[in-house]
Amino acid sequence: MSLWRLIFQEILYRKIGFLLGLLSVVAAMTAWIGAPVLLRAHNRQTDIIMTERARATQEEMHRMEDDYRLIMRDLGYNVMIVSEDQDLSRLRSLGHPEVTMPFEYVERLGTGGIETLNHLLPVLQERVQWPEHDLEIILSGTPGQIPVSHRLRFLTPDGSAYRNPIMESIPKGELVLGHNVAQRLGLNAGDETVLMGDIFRIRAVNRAEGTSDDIAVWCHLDWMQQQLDMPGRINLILALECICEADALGRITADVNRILPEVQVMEFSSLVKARALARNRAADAHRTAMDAEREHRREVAEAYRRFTSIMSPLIVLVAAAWLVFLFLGNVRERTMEIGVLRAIGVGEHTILCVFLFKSLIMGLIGALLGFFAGHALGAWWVEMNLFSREFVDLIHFRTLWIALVAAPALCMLAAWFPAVRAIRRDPARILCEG
Amino acid sequence: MTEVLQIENVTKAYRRRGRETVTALRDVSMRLERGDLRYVYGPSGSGKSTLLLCAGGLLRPDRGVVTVAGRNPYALTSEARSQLRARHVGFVFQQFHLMPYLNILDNVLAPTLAGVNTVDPRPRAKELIERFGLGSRLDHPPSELSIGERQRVALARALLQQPQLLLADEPTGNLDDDNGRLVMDALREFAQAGGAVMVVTHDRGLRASDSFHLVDGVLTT
Repeated sequence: MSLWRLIFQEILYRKIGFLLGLLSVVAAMTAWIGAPVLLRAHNRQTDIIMTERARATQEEMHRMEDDYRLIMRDLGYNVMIVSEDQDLSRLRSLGHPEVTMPFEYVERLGTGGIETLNHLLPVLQERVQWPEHDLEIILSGTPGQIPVSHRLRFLTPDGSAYRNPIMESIPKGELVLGHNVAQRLGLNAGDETVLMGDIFRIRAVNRAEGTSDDIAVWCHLDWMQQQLDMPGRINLILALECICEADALGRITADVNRILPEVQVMEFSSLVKARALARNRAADAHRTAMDAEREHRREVAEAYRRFTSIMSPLIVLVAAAWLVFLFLGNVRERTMEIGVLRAIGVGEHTILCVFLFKSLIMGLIGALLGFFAGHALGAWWVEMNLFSREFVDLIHFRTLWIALVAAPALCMLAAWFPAVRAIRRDPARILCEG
Repeated sequence: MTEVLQIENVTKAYRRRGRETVTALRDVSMRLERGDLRYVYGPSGSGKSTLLLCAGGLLRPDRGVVTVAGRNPYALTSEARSQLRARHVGFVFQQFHLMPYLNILDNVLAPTLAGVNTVDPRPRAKELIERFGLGSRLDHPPSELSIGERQRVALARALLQQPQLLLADEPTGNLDDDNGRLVMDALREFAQAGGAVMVVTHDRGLRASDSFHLVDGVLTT
């Protein structure tokens, strides 16, 4: 009879004791293997979630881009036309053009038959001091929209004005105030005020834009030209809701320069910025949300790590103690058997092997079961599908080899003391007591 | 050489902490040669089991010399002493001490765990089991056997390695007359075949002409 047969027969005979021991090995291995698997599974889930969110964000951004494009197309394309002598960097720093051009330019554009133009608004802007309030303002005079002659559908039957102008003209004797100006002076729509010696009624107060428009005071062009002694002059033409779908600025510039070669055309920076800003804000919001999610998951991972770094060794320790207890019980139960084996000539080493090989079997089975149980538990904990590709990726077979060494080592270590105790017992004494 | 067991002036005392020393054997001497079947009679506590264990190389005497098959087991290492027992000594116990998780065949084969066999021991194990009338029950566990059958299995186990010396401690103590007779016949056969047998018992019914008495550790003929 071989030693292995003796061991297997004994295991089958005392199967409950063996299963209890096996259970503790499986628990130890599950805790030991499950802890890093749990963290790996969590990190993998985090990657999946973040990738999914990033993809969703990207799609959302593309959708938003398309929406903006559609909105901008529907709204039309807004450009500003200034004199070719206007220094653009000065325009940006001042917030309004300085170089004037004849009013007649806007009339030429209006009658030039340019297909891309819908609405034209001539403006004269000048940074001045509001003498009555000692306040610097951008005085902006406009006569209202100038008809584009071929846009008959927008015009009144006599063709002299728009039926529904997108920017209403400001009647003489009235002002429209930028948000800051109104706030500084405590003026509201309907109030009266004095500007450069003339009395005006406040027609409206514009909402805050965060641009130089907030310090603008809109008035009728004629009054402003008269006040500033600039008859027949403007320095800005706003072309609003131009019809363009592709290469907007290039096409409008070409159309405008065909009629007025001595001007520059540029897109409303505020609108371009607004569009980019809106896009960036959305992206920022998504980025912030993703950062928060990532941080949250990192904190959860850290909590898992802390928990498992305490629990895993504790479970292994308790399992080892339980194994020692079980092996001690097994040795006690087999005392007479040990005495008889010694009497019939079985050596100490062989008897030591009986217990150590049994623990080896327990360790090997426990390692295999614990390896799979640890992976399953780790993945289940983070709600990962056990039949998914991600779960398969989690399995590190290198860990299996380590487990196949660690678990038997743990068991043999636990069995060592009881086994040594068994062979050190005096067989004569055992037989006498029996 | 015909001498199988020689015990010379063996004394063994048990010293227990806090209690007085009990001398189990006092200057005991005896010899067993091939073909001998000797009984050692004595009441409980007379030192019979101590004598048996000393003779079997399991209990080192305080004084005196034991020689089994020409070698002093107590001059050997623990492993070598085990080998000596495995090759030359067979034990039969009153309580049989069969392993409950092994079937009859495996119980009889248990001494092969000592690793002294060079030939396949299974045919001899089966032959012994057949001889003791248990041939049809090779796969049965001891729990399915009667008391007498268990002792026969224990005897087969003791005889498996063809020892020179058989040490039997109250071998018929738990058996009925028929089974007791069967066991004693087997021991006689073993002795007649050239083995040496020492039976320790308190059963006067087993009286033989050439027997010893052990009383308070003193052996007399």
